[in-house]
Amino acid sequence: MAITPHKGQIATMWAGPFTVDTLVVPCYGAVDVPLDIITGSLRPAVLSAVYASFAYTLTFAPNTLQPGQAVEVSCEIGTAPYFDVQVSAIDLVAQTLALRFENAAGAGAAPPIVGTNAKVHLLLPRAFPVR
Amino acid sequence: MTYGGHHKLVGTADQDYQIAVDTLVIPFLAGPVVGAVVGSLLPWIALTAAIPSAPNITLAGSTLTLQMREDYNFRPGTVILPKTTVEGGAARWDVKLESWTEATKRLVFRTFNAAGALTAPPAGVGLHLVFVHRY
Repeated sequence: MAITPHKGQIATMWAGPFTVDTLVVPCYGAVDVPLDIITGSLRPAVLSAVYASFAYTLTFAPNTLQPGQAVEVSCEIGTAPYFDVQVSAIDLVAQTLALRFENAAGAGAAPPIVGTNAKVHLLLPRAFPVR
Repeated sequence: MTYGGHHKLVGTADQDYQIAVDTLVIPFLAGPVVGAVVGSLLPWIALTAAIPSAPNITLAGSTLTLQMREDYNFRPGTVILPKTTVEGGAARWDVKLESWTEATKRLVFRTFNAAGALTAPPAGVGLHLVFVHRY
């Protein structure tokens, strides 16, 4: 059965420019994540993905993250045991976003290892300010 | 500023693509069983053979499976955001996407209790899903 794919346009209550971007970051264990395995519309703006202290810190190109930037994060567990991901820091000056891995009790935990197919899903919407 | 209503397009940093946003709300009734599902992604869920009007969504213990139509095509970079409700004073619970399998066109989610143990969802709650993908 053929279904017409999404050809419609997405609207928003915001009368000005509005962007919705995506990122999917595969879990790579407690080491830096290679950029070539990251996917999503914001992938070209990701300069690095560094691991430290239970968190991946993504660094973006200048002016990518802006005031009003919302970040919704979720995780795909694959074959990994339960884990959760929280946005633990956003720095608009350094253009960094930290994603902290936690267990069910909220304690820091190492990211799932390669081979579990675990991933972090990020939705990054923002409305541009009126100038 | 003025609000002009729904007439502006949503853009993306990647100007070569357009973004689609879909929704799905899946309620869980006593049993627990899946209730009436609504949302923009509903037409892309396959129908059951036994009840041709019913979407093919099954809950077996802590495993929720959505059988998508063969036409539907998630791509690398598709973001899936599941959120839980605790309507009716239900206990806190969680849900995680387990996998999307291209070969079978199946989306599989697993449900957990507050301690992170695989547990069926409480009765009366809902699962709210947002899908964002490029086409």
